[in-house]
Amino acid sequence: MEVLIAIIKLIIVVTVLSVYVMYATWYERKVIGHMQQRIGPKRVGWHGLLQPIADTLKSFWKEDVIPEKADKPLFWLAPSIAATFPFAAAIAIPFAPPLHLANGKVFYFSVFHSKIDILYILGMMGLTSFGVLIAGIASGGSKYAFTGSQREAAQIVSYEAILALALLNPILMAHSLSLEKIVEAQRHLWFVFYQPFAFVAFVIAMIAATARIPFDLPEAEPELVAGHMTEFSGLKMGLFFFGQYVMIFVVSALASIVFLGGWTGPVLPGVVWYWIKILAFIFMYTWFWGTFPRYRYDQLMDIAWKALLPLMVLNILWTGFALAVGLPVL
Amino acid sequence: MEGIMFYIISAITVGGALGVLLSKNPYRAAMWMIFSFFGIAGLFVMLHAQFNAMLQIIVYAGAIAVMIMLVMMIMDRRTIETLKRFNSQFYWPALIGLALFADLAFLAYKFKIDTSNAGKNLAINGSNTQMIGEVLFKHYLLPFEVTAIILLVALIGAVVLTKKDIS
Repeated sequence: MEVLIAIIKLIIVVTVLSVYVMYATWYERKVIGHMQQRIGPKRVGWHGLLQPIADTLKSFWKEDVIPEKADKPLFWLAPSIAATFPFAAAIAIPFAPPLHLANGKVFYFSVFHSKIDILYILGMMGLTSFGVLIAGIASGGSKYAFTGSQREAAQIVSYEAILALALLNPILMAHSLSLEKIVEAQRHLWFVFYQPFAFVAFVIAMIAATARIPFDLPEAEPELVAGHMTEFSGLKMGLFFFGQYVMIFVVSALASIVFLGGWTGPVLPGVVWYWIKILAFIFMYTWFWGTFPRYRYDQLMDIAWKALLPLMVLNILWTGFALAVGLPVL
Repeated sequence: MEGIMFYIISAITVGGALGVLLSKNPYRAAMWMIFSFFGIAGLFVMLHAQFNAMLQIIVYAGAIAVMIMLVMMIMDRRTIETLKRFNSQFYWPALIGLALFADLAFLAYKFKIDTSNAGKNLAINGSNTQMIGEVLFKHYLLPFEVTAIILLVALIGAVVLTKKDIS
C-alpha cells in the first residue's frame, strides 16, 4: 500500500514538474520581454500560452546529431544524468504542509520523507554536476564543451560548499535536518531575521549553483557558444534545460522552507503562503536575468572563496557561541 | 525482501568496483567509481545509517569524484589516452588481493555465516545523527580536532608545493 502511494506520488510529481518546466520557459520569456519593452511570445494560443507545447513538439522532431568523435555511451548518459538528479532532489521537497489524518498518521506531500531531508537534497544537487562534466568529456574534444563543463564543475563544487555552510546556521538553530522540524522552529519568527547573512549567502550560492545570470559562466554565449551543450541537439539539449529548471524549483523551495518559514504566515492558509514564497524566488531568478550583467570568472571564484566562505565560517562560529550561552542569535 | 535488496546493492557495489578496474577509459572508470559509491551508500541505508549514507554521497560522490574528474580534465588529453591500464608490477597487488579474498572466504566457511540474515539490520536502531555528534564531540574531541589539523596541514602543503612551480 505504501509503495503504491509512493509510486502514484512519484508519477504526479514528475508530471507536475514537467508541465512546470514547459511553462517556466514561457513565463521567463514573457517577463523578460516585458522588462525589455517587448511583448514576448504571442502568436501560438492566447498570449502565447501554447508556445511551450509547440516548442516541446518541435524538439521531438529535431535531428539528433551525434559527433563522430563522441564517446557514444557517455553522450547518452550525460543528458539523462543532468535531468534525473534534479528530479531525485525534487522528490524530497514537500508540495504542501503535511496533513494530520484522523487516525493519528501524517500524510506527507513529498514522495520521499526522512529525518535527513536536507542532506539528501544537497547530495542529489551535488551529483547534478556530473551531467555537465560528462557532457564535456563525451563531446569528443570540442573545446567549447570542454571549457564550459570545466567551468561549471568548478563553480558548482565551490558554491555547493557555500550552500551547505549557509544551511548549517538554520540547522543549528532548529536542531534538526528534517524540513518539517525546521518549519516548526520558525513558528514565531522566520530564520531570515535571525540569519540575514546566511540568507544572502544562500541566495547568491543558489543562483551560482544553478548557473543562471549573473553567474551563468558555463554557457556564456560570447565566449563559449552554448558551453557544455554545444554538441547536443534536439531532445538531448532539452533535457539539460529540464534539469536546470527543476533545479531552480528545488533551491527556491529549499530557500523558502529554510529561511522564510515555509508554510507559516499570517491570515492566508499555509499552502498559499508556501507557493507565494516559491514563486517569488522563481520570479527573482527571471528578474536578475533581466537586470544583471555577467560576472567575470575570477570574480565569481573570488566571491565564493574570499568573501562568502570566511563570512559563513564566522557566522557559524557566532551562531554556535550564541546558542551555547543562550544569547538571541542575530 | 531485505535479502534480495542486499544482493542487488552488493552487486552494484562489486560491479562498480570491477568496472573501475576493467574499464580502459579513465573517465568511464571514474563513473564506475561513483556507481560503486552509490552501492556503499545503499548498504549504509540498509543498516539504518542514513546520515552516513548521505555523507557518502555528498563527500565521496559529490566532491571527491568531481575533483578526480576535474583533475583528469585539466591533464593533457593525449597523455590520458596513452596511459596503460596496468603497469608492469600489477601481479603483486593482485596476489595480495587474492590472499585477502581467500582469507575472507576461509573465515566465512569456518564461522558458518548465516546467509538468511543477509540485509537484516542487527545493529542499533534509530536516528544516528545525534549519536555521531555526541560521540565525536564529547568522547573523542581531541583526536577529532587533531585530524582536522592534519587535513589542514595537507591542504596548505599542497598549496605550497604547487605555488613553487609557478613563481
